[in-house]
Amino acid sequence: MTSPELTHPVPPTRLDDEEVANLEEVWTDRPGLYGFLATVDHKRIATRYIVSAFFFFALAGVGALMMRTQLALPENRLLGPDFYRQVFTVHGTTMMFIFAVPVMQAVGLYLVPLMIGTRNVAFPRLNALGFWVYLIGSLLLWVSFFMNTGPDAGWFSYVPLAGPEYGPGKRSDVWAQTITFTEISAIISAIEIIVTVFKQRAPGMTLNRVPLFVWAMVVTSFMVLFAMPTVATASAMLALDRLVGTHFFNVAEGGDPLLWQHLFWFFGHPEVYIIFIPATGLISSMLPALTRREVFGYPLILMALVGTAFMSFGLWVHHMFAAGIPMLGGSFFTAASVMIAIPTGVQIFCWIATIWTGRPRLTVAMHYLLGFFFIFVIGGMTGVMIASVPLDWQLHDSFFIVAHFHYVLIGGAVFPLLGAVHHWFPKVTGRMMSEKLGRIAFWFTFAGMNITFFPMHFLGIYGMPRRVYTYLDGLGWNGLNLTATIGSYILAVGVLLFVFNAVRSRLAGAPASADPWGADTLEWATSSPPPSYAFANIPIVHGRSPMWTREPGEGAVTGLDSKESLDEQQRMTLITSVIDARPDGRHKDPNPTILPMLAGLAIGGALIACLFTPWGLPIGSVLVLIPLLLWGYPHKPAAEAEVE
Amino acid sequence: MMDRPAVDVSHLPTESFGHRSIVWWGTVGFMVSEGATLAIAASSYLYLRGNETDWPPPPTPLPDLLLPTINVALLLLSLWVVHRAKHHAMRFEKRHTGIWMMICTAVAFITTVLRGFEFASVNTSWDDHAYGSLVWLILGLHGTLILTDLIEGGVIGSIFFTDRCQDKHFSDVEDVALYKWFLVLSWVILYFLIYLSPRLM
Repeated sequence: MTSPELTHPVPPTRLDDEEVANLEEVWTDRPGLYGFLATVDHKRIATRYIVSAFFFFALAGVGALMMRTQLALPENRLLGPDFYRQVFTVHGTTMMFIFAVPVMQAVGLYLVPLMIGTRNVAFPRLNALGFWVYLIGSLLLWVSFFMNTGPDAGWFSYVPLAGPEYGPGKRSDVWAQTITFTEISAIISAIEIIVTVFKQRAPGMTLNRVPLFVWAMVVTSFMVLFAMPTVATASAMLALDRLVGTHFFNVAEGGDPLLWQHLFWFFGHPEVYIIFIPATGLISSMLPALTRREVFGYPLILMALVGTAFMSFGLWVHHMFAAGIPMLGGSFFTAASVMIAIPTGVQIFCWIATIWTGRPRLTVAMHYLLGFFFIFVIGGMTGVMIASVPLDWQLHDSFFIVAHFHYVLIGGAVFPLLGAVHHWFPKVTGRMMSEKLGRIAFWFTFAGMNITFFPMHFLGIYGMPRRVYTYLDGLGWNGLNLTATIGSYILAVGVLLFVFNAVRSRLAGAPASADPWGADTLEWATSSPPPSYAFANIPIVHGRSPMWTREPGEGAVTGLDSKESLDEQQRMTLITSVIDARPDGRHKDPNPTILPMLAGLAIGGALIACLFTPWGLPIGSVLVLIPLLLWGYPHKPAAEAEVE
Repeated sequence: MMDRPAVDVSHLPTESFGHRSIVWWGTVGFMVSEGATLAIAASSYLYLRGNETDWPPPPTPLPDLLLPTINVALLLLSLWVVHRAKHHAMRFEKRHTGIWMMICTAVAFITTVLRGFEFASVNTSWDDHAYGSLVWLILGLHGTLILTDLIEGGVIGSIFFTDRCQDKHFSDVEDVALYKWFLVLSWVILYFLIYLSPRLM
């Protein structure tokens, strides 16, 4: 219930048409190229992030098809060993660093502000900077790959293979810089999401009413704050070893390659959950609309999210069982790895209970959720298997592991994501995606995924190692490899149909209403697509399902925009208290500017220069400083400027 | 018909201090991620140290103590200075805030220069061996933060001597003070790690 202090004895005047038109003018970007480049609207930036991430997903998918085509037959000569190494490294690096983490954060950057009823993210210019840094880093990787300088030491870039002695040329430097770029961007997005959720929720949205997807993004963002600096520091150390001759990983001078493995996996294991937890949030926030009831066990799911986050930092060594670690360490990390299945299991049982006791609708999104259950549970079970040291020793670096993590990541992240695209597409574009085509695409994707990766379990058990560009005839691997390759093409058809559906629906899909699914969260309270200012009057929240507890004549926030603020073209957002979301201030939101893009370009230039010379850092830093100073230095107050 | 009340927010302030301000939360976010970076560098130092029987590895001498100790003292002093600035900022006293921010910047400048000389006083080079690489890494990572703080403090301080000063800049001073705590306390720990711990353990 709304507390008495929240209310104010004034008539609940909503903005009239003229005021809404003024609001539109204040919040809408200028048309043309400048407006496009200078935008600080979280919706436009997040959409850009999502489209870019899917573009790189498609490129990396083509890389996967190339690998599968090469492995279709024994002793195939389509790809040579050197090129094959680049393809699997760039495929993995793209999927983990350029697709999976950014796309989940981007969905968060789009949905979180709308779900909590605010007009923009907390630091809109910083958000824009994050996107440009991400884009430049991603392009660096792919342009290098097309120039035959693609990284080739695996997505985890193990030393000494990636070190100066065994990795000559610039390939591993490109990897290290790409990681630095994407981690800067990930940290920025994480801070955006945390501060936006803590300080900009609509009045009444106390912490125990926050939608579960928003919670999932907050938990993920905290994980990013601790995990991403680790890999960024490690990749900087690798770059220094290669560029200026430090010895962090050089055994001959007191370094240690195992340090790299510890640093990488201390980030790398939480990374899996940084990808998976947002996906669980998507499921928890789609299910109410799809089953027409509130999600079962809100507090349990929330505790499971937080529990998973903590535990995920305590199991990194299970990636290193074969590297020779003490027995006690092996036992501890086996126990921890098995234990993390518990909170995930709790979430799955809560979702099953929701579906069981609700009135489920078999939309395309629901298809993907059911597909998630099937695929992810298999991936989770094989995960519990290989948490055991003796089995891990047998299966380490075999195709069994490839099967396991594709089941986890495609099942646990890609399926919920594709479902989420179908679910929120009407909100973002104002048009419905075709359900019929969506179902066909789903079945191709589901069948293709299983036909590709299920046989790999057996390939691994039969001894086929990962990361080999070919294999001899007569080892008993031919049929399973050919099956996997056929499956990969079926999967590709599914993805193509999905993309075709999205593009066609964007251009000519049926118009969507504000709330086509009868959903419960606030993003459905505004039009589809949302206006630039998102909410003319910030809504007031009375429960966990604000759309279902709304009543005719609902109250809203008034007085956020004043005549002066509208006249001065000043964008305003509402600041609320962290725990109870009581109104606490009116924040002046910054206007669009091209400076974040210029700062992004300067950071990009500096980091790319560092590939070639250590002087790239000081010279680049000065170049970065210029747009940042212009960005931070205040303009003269508008009134005084006019007088002059 | 209104069944539920409206909330009028027109009386609420547009600037505030501390945890009521979103910039404060953003600063905390960056402190956490930068703190994680320093913690990882310190962990790497301890991990590689565990592989050695003698630390620093012979014949490398121990790092000098005088200059770094003076610098730690200066950093602690800068905490007091920045809190004078914050004291005046929270009372919206433009001139005093500006003066104390300039003193703070001057101290930060000396700290930065001394940090530059610290590289020479550790008696090892980044490419000698892993010990040298680690000491330089820690000095460099924290040095970047010192430099950032110098520039940020200088720019914000200079605004108080112009006609462009707005209410939000007083709130910015408080964020500079918060960040300074992180900067100094993290260095006290790292100072112990790289200068004192090789002597004591």
